Amino acid sequence: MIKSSLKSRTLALAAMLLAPLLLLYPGAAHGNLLMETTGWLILCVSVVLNLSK
Amino acid sequence: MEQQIPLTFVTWILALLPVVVVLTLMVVFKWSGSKAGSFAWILTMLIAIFVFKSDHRVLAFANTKGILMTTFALYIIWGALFLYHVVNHVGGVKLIGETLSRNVSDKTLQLVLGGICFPTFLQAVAGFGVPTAVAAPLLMALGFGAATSVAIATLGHIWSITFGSMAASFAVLQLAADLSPVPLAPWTAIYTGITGILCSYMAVHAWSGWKGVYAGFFKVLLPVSAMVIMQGVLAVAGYYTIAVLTGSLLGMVIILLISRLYNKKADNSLADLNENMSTETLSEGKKLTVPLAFLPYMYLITLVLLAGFIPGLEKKLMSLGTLALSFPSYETGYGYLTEATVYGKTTLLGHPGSYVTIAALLGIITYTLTGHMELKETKIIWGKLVKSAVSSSIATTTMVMMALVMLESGMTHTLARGVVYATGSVYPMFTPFVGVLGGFITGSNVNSNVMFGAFQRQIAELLGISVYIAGAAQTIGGSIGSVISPAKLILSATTVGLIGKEGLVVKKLLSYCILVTILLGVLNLVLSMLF
Repeated sequence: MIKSSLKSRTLALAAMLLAPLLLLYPGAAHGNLLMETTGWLILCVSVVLNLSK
Repeated sequence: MEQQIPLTFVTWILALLPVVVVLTLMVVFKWSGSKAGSFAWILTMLIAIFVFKSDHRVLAFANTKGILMTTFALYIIWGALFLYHVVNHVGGVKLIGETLSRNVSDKTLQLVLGGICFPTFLQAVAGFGVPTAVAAPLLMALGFGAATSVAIATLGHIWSITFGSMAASFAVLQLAADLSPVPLAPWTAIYTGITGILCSYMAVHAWSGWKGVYAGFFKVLLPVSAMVIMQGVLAVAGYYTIAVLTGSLLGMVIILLISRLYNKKADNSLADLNENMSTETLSEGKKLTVPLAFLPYMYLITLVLLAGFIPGLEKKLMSLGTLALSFPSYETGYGYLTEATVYGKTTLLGHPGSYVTIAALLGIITYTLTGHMELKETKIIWGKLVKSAVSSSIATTTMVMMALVMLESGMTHTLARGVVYATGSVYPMFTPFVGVLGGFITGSNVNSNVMFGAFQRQIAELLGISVYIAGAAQTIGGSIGSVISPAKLILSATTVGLIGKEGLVVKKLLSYCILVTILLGVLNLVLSMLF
């Protein structure tokens, strides 16, 4: 239980760090709405997941 | 920068709301930093969109900048904790603490060594609650009371937090408030140095009142002055990452030397000292010596000095891989403008985090070659590192993103204008208190600087006072606030068996922390008027 919680937290942290760099920034900088929306989606889900822990 | 955001009571309260929410969730509802930070980030985004007219592009860039700043800080934080866990895994941290204290018989010197130098050393190499959690039980073993031990170890290392943990708080303050390190370092060294001396005497006072302060005046003054001067000199010279580490090692050496002078009859000949300086380690009962326990930290000092002394080396290392992104200028619906910039300075090598990570890896190789651990045990160390760092990293990430959204949507600017309007030119008195608030809320000097670094800079600019003095006052306030945060106090109380009796520790600590913050506030007001 503790292990799986730690794993999901680690994944959430990785998603939080990578989504803005790989999707949100290039999406917003180049006007690619699909890329930006995907970035927002991953970022928001990873942040919201923390609220349930 | 245009000033079109209306400054009303409602906009000011809404700009303050995320900070109040974090405070309430953590203190009243006992939420963890990661959970409270996540909630506050969502709230900040909503306020930025609906009240401060920030569009998706402003928010996307603000959050990306937040991640770039987080990456910079996490590289240092994870590296420092990695090094700590390597040494701790072979029993090195316990050995260093016990051996040093065992070889000093004078009670005041024991307090200075075990309650000031040792937690300062732990702050230099780890931080994040480790100093008090490790040093307080050691003080208890030396005969100090439970609540007193926590108070001593806490007061003893407050001063070293900004330049501790490989100067993570100092680095983040530069980024958050856009301050150059060269003029910032001397002011920070002055504030941390004064706090170091004041809090050291407060630690003695917490143990034995004014009688102890008078009796041990010089026993405290000499090692603590040496530590703060060494820290200041190295910080001003640009060696931020090893300033506290070197200072604490110097303090330990001075205590051992003074101890010999004070107690010639004590059994502290070099031979006996060396004999005492060993312990059974985890693997195959092999004995670890103190020099070997210290070796990874020596690697770190050597690496930092080599990079600094060999001309062009650090620049070359930094050019090998940099994480920085170019941002265009953009503005909110109110016309609050963020200028175009290249943001983020995280480099694979030449970054403080890289030195400490390499030192940890060299430590693993050394301990493996000397038979103190096996290579496969690295997995256990990694597990401990992840367990200790993930939650605080999520808290840092969400709070940094929150702070950047507040900054670039104009919320921080609105807050600053409101505070200046209310307090006027006496605001510098309150600068450290704002830092304390941030540290208290988040349990972290890093996060306090993230949350209020830009705020303090904007107020200083509005008042026409030095932004560097304001930055230094912010970070020392953040240090004080972080040690009295509920999370750290609970952790510290638990290590000395005061579970559920945290109030005793609060009672011991609070008056000292308030007093030192008031004194720093007065100092800040005077310095702001003079420079």
